[in-house]
Amino acid sequence: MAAMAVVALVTASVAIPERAPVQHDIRPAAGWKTRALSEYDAGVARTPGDTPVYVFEGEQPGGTVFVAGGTHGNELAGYMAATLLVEHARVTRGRLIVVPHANNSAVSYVETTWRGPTSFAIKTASGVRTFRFGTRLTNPAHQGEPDPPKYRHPASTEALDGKEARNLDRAYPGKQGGNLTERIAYAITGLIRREQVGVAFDFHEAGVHSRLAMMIVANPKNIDLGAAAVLALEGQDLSMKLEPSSPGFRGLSHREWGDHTPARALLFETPSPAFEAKTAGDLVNDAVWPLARRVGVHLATMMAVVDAYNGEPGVRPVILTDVPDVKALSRSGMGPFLR
Amino acid sequence: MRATRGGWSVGAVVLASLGAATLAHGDDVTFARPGLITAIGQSADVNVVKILLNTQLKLGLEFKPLAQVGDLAGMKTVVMVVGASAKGLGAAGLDMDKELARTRGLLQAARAQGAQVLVMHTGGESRRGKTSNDLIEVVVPDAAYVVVVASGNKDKFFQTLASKRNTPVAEVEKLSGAGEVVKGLFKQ
Repeated sequence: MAAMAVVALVTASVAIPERAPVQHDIRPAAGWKTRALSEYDAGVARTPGDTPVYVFEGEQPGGTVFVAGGTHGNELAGYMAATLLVEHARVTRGRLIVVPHANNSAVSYVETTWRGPTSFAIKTASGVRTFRFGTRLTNPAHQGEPDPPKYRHPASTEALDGKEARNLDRAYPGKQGGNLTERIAYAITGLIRREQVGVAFDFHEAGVHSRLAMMIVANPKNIDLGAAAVLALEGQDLSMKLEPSSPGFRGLSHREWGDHTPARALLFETPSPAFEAKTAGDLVNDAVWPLARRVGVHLATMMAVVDAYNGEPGVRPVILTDVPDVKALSRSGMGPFLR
Repeated sequence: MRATRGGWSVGAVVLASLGAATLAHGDDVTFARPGLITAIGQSADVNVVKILLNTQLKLGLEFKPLAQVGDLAGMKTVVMVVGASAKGLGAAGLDMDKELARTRGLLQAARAQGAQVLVMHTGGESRRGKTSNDLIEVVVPDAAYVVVVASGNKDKFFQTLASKRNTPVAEVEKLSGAGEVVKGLFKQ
């Protein structure tokens, strides 16, 4: 009888440098509680990938809405919309969970090719406040391993440029003990699952002239929520396009959150002048697409989807209040709505 | 009502609710149920039209984005929501050749059984690339009526195609206007 050898397969964790995460000037309104992403996976604890998780639980029980901003650290309307929610919104029924800087490592540096500002200021009643502007990808010094020559998501047949290994929106559902980007993705997917999120949003930006600008991308299982939002937003003079997640382009939030958790998953794209070389000088006060208007588009689209979600049979509704509308934001800027 | 039939202007009343729409003279065109909504080009515009016609207007049309010839059995109306999406085609396992073949098959079946075709284009300029145009050129000549959102018809492409058969074209500013037009076309 041949002896059986038992081979223990040990998957080595990527060594991530211990370093304090970037701190942000976010001032939660009354009623918000602060947690940390590392509560959902210890793999991001004591790393630059840890990031605050804000939770508002309404007095009445209901479902849970999740918002991620800052998946890409240079898509400022996304993380400023998330920040505004934490500083101004309230919940009367259900829960709202917000991660303003989903990839906190991505705001720790800027690309060497970037010639624009690395921060921007907004005047508020409490004074001028400053916010960071980062880049699209995890800081290479935090990743724990060098970029591969080509990056291929485990479920994808498509090979991307190697640096896309540091793109949080190509890493979902993530990997426990993986590189920092995979760990962040794993923790966020775990949060959505553990908190029984009903509908999850990922706020992004694209170039002003990109086909992605003013687009809702929805997991196919919940495309009708996006369709209902398109119709509702028309009443606010907002024209959004709608696309389903691609079946072969993997690792994106709307695709993997929707496929790996029970949550409905949607991603929004607003047009950012920061991607246009000629207008990158002022990140806030663009003549056509000022930051406040783009933030308003994100919030209006989120509210339209939540409204449609609440109308679905059998769901546990979520009632959000004190979310500024796009007209008020366009008229007054973000200042009056930040603390 | 300002109206066109294949490009002919025959009246002038602006309905505020339609947002300065240019409407077809469609008094003699009506659609009957049962009807079916299908996607031509597999864009998500078909989901928006479904919400508009079924959820909001409660027309009760069957919804089959990938309808095959057999699905038309008993149908009196086929609503074709035209606009190409590479993602949508890929997700459905289709390429343009297959989608064109499916479309031609549906049109042929509709003609054979006397079902009327209502063409809707709601995706605006972003659904007017070559692939979308190829599909539009196939469906509009078989339409009994065309509804198009104006941002996708700046070149009056739909009127040009429709004029060959004097098919009425309703151009609306907004999706809500498209709903109003379609609601008026289903009289029973």
